[in-house]
Amino acid sequence: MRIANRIGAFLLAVALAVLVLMIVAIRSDQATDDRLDIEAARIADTADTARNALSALKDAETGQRGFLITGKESYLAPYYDGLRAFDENAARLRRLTADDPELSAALSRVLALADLKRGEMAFGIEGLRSKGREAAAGQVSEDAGKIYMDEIRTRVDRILSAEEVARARNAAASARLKAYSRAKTLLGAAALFTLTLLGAVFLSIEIRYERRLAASLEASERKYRELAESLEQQVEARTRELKRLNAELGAFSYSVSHDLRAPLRSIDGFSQIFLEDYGASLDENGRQLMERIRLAAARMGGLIHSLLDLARVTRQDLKRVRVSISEIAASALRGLAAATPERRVRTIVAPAMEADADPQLIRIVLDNLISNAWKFTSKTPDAVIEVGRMFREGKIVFFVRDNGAGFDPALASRLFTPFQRLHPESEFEGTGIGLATVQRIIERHGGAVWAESRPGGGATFSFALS
Amino acid sequence: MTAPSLLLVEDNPDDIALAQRAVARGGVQANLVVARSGKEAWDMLNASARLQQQPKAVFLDLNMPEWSGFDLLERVRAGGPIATVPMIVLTTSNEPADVERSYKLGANSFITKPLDFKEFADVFAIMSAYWAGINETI
Repeated sequence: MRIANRIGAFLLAVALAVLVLMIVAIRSDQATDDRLDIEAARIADTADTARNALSALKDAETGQRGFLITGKESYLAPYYDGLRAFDENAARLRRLTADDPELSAALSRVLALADLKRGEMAFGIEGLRSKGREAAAGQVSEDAGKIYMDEIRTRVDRILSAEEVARARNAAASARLKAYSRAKTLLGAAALFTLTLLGAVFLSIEIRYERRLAASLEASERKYRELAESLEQQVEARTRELKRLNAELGAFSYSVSHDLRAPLRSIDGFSQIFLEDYGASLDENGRQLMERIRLAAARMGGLIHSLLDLARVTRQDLKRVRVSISEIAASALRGLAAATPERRVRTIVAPAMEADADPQLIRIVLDNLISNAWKFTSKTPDAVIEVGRMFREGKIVFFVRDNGAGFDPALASRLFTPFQRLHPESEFEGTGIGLATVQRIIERHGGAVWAESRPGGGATFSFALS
Repeated sequence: MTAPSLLLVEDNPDDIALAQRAVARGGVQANLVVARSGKEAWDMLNASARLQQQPKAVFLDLNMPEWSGFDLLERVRAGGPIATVPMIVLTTSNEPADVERSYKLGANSFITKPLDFKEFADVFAIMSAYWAGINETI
């Protein structure tokens, strides 16, 4: 891109320079030629006119002499024609030499001589007419007219030769001018050539530099691409590994769900059938032993169920929609009340509580927190469970509060660790996985969960979603 | 008149025994016929269709060798004389993905086997009685 731009700009500059130089050279040559042509024409014209004037004066002289010799008036016609032609040419010469003072002065002197010659010729004609042929002939033999005429011819020749010199000078000047013009053109061409050469050199340097720059750029790009590719490959490999691990976890969960629960169901089912079929022939102790087997199986079933929940909240996709916290809480409390109709618990659920959350997962959260509250108030007379909402640091915080057994605040951080129990199993049954599941769900929502309590003073579990 | 038949597709002998016990315990008036794989169930269903003695309903497990429950569901619902037989998935799984896939393939119901035998027996007896009797009321 950069190279192409520079080449383009350079070629344009060269083209413009060529155009300008050509125009200048042509115009200058033309002007020079025109000027030289005009000058040459003027010199030639001057010389011709001078010759014509001389020739006209000779014609007039010839006529006059013919008249003087013959005395016939008819010879005077060429005399008058010659004089007229001389006057015309003289006038023309004056105009042609007006710009040249030297030539003009020389011409004036010739014309003065011509006036003398004309006076001599007129005198001869008058003499013939008034005194007769002999007197006039004597005049001719005196040769005054020839002296004038020779002088005129000499002067005109001198002028003409001067003009020849001028013409030669002019030709030399013209040659010089043309040589100068050619030199100018040559110089222009040379300048153009040098410019082009410089441009080519500059361009080649530029291109070489650009190439080197491009090569180094390409090299660094290649390096980064390779780096990025290797990074990408690493990320891909890790992602593949994670996906594989996740799939394995899924398969493991499924196998735990199916393969561990099936024998449990058998243990429970056959012990129940055993009790139904042979219970009558067992004593009380035998029946109690069977019941303990069944209870253990049920507890293990609960554990498996909780573990599956915990695994599921980790890998299940989050689908956040508007959910009614109030309704889910009320439904959980209704379920617990139906399952343990002997319990008398006062429940308070704040109305119209809503949140953007995964409906399935937020139900697991509320089920866990509310069933915990239900469980830990089992030994509290006048048990109260409250599900409500408050604002803290600009955030909506939901809470489940009870007036049950509570826990030691120093141990609060251990609450959310899997299989951590703060109460002995004999006192309050449970798997120790519920709160870990709650925390994982809230964290997947980008929120936080925490608990506050003191022993015997009830507990408050709060959570905020992002 | 013979009692209506129900087809149980199940590979776990314990579960077969528990299901049989549940039917007997609940006093359901139906013959519980057992197929031990999806393929066997497919053959039995086609044979019963030829004899015009189709079961009133099929209870099928999902995780089985030689055709899973999904495979059987897909083939039965693909067309033919047995395409409309009621199919009830009876499984250990409670995975949402399994529930969704079962219904999409044309299951009439999805039951997660309860761990507690009393619960399982109650549910199975109720479902059996319902599907065994439903066609007679139509």
